[in-house]
Amino acid sequence: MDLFIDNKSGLPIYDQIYSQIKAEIISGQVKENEPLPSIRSLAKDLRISVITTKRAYEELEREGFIYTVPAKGSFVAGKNTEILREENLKKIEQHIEEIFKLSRCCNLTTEDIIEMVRVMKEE
Amino acid sequence: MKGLLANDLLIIKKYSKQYLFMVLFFAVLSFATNTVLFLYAMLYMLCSAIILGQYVMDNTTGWHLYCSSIPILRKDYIRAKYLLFAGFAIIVFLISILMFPIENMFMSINFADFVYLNIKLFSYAAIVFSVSMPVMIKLNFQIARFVTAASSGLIAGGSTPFIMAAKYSAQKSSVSFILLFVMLMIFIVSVKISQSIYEKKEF
Amino acid sequence: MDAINIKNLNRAFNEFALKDVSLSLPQGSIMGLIGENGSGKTTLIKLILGALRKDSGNIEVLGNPQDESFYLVKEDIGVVFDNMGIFDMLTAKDTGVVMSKLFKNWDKEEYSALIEKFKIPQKTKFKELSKGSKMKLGIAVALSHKAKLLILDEPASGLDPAARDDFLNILWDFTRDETHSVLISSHIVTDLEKICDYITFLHEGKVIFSDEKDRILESYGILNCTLENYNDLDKSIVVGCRKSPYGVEALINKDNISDSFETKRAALEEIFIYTVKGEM
Repeated sequence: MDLFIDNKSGLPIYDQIYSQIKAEIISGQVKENEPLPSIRSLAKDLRISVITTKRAYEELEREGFIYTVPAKGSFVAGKNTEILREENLKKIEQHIEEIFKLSRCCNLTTEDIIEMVRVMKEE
Repeated sequence: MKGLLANDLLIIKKYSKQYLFMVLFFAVLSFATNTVLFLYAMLYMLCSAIILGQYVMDNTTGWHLYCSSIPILRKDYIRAKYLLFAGFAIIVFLISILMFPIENMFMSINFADFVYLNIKLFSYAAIVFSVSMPVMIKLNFQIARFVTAASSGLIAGGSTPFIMAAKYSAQKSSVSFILLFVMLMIFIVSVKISQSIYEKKEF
Repeated sequence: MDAINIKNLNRAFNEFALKDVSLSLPQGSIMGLIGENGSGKTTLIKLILGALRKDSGNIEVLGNPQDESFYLVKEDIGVVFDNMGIFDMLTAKDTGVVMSKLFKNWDKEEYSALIEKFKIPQKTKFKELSKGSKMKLGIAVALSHKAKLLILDEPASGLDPAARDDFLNILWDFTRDETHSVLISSHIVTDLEKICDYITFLHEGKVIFSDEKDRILESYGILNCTLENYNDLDKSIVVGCRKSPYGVEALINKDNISDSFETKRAALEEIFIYTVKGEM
């Protein structure tokens, strides 16, 4: 996991950690049930306060991105289905944008496209 | 307390060249002026001066403050100082006995007289030390240096009557042993007083 | 258990007094003690160790009150004072010998390893060492008897930035263990801002604040505005300000304000300066 702390930016450090870990979880760079570094070792390796990392982890847990097992540590939670759905909807919209762009070259109307979709669905 | 002794001894060791030089100086002086007996008065004075000086040095180096971060009792600090004095003084006494044959070459004094005189010198120095320590601890550190010097002078000068008496008449053993006993009492009381003064000190 | 717990500590001197000082250092944390010269930081540390006697209040270190057996707690405390002339006549090697007889848990190998790591010459008399080496030796001693609590009084003054970085690394490593705690007083507020979990600010013998560092930094903000806007401000939220011909820079306390001002994040050093100097 790569984490970069910018001391000079106005953003609170716990927020930076929270956002970066969240991004890694969403993008799938860290897998489900993968263990996260302990609050303490993360703080010491990043050279920041333990209270800061604790807060970032608490926020992540509150939002459902990670879960904590007492005496064992924190782990990446199963992908939040809401988020996954959002992601996929976004991807579909991007593809549709592509289709519209290409269809203009072939002079297809919206009805033509819908007809194509129906035909392909039946195949 | 072992650590405190080790600390003092290691520091004293660093100054051992200077101290040895002083011993040699006294030795030469006393042999040359044929007042050999004075040598031992000087040596007892040196024992007292070294220990009192250690207390003053501990202040300069901040050792008193540092001791509040070490697992020792303040009582132990005082005990170590008194123990060191006693140790050094006893060593001087034993050396004096061993060196008697050489003494005897320079002045004829019978062995018994010599031992009694030594006991008197030892006791006298120990009494002055026992009085100086609590006085020095009670007063502030600037005056402590003065007390060290004054007590050294007292021992050096005050030993004279004892030595003069030894030159001209035989020593009474009873006087020596009474003085020794009185010294021991004063020494023990002094330890207690020093401990209670030091207990209340702030750094 | 708190590593240090102080409640309503009072101690008066001729011209200065510590008044009603309370703080707690939770185990496993690093607390920075900041304040001007003479604000009472060293006095507070001396009171914690028993070098000075308190007038009233309660002090507990590692769960132990200051009674007759308090001296035993010192086995678990490592202390570094500034201006340590403590071992002036001794060498690093001698110091190790002395300390091995003073501490039950003295770790000879650890001490040798640290002396080597810090590149402290073994046979040089302490008073001939450089300032940085003196400090590092003090730390080596403090770290070589399995201490659970480190108390440091201005340990890094007189050190160059690289040496200070080394020093911070040592503290970071020390606190990887969650039973280890640190109380450090320093003027180098920027270092404390990096490393501390908690900050206590002493000013004229009183505690101005003692709280989580993050919370403190979030409570304050720097406001840049015109003189007219400044004069319209509710002065109860202004901690201090600096007026120039071109405008006003003020430090405000954001805790109780309802309006949202455009404020910049305040550095701990700025909070210190504005609190101490007020209106400039």
